[in-house]
Amino acid sequence: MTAPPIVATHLYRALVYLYPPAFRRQFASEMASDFHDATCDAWHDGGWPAVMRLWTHIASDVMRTAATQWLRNGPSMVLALSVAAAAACTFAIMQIARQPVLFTSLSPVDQDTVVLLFLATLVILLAVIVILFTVCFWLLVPRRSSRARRV
Amino acid sequence: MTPLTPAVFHILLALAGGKRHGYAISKEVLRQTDGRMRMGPGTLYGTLQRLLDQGWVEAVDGPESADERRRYYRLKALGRRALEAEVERMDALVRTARAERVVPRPSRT
Repeated sequence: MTAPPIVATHLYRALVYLYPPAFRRQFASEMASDFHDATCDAWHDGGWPAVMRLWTHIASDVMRTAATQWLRNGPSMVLALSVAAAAACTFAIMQIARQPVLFTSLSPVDQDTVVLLFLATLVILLAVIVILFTVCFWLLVPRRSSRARRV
Repeated sequence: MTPLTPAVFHILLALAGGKRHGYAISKEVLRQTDGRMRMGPGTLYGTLQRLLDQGWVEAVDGPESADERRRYYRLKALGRRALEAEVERMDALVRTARAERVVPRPSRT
């Protein structure tokens, strides 16, 4: 291989989606350009080891700073998501309390079936999230607006 | 005055020499710190956003030959004053440390 795969830049663009929308609109394009250039520089300087070191550093940077940006730029969104999650949990607990299902009272075959159904639900849920994420990414790739370029 | 964070200080210092785009800022920080401080895009642009909001830095057009994808950033008077105040604060600290005979060991390299 003569150069780091371009798919890495696409993956990084996807990672940038972890930041709040306002931040993405302002900086996503530049961040992706920087990532691409930094990867190329690391590749020329030290090959795969240097690229892997860079990507590890950038991955930790994304995890750290995305949370900070959400707290800074999107406290209302975080609050809304938290309230929604809390409401969903409360509703689920109330439903379970109303109609208790004793897992241990089921036969071993039924217990296996319940576990399999649970795992299948998780897989389907993950697949839906990935599909939604991909669709959103391709449809709503943040582009730098003319207004932002004048700032 | 509250001390500046390392990220803010190094970005302001990188911009003291003139306007730069984001990647050039991170490379300049790496150079100034002998490779000890690598600034990821999240840290860089998160800090730049705060500096833009505070009016310490402004986004400007790049040179004619500049890459269209790049936005350039320039230090404003307020940012330069903050940088100078921080350097004075650090200088005073170093003088105090020297007076207390706190001398760093010579580097092994």
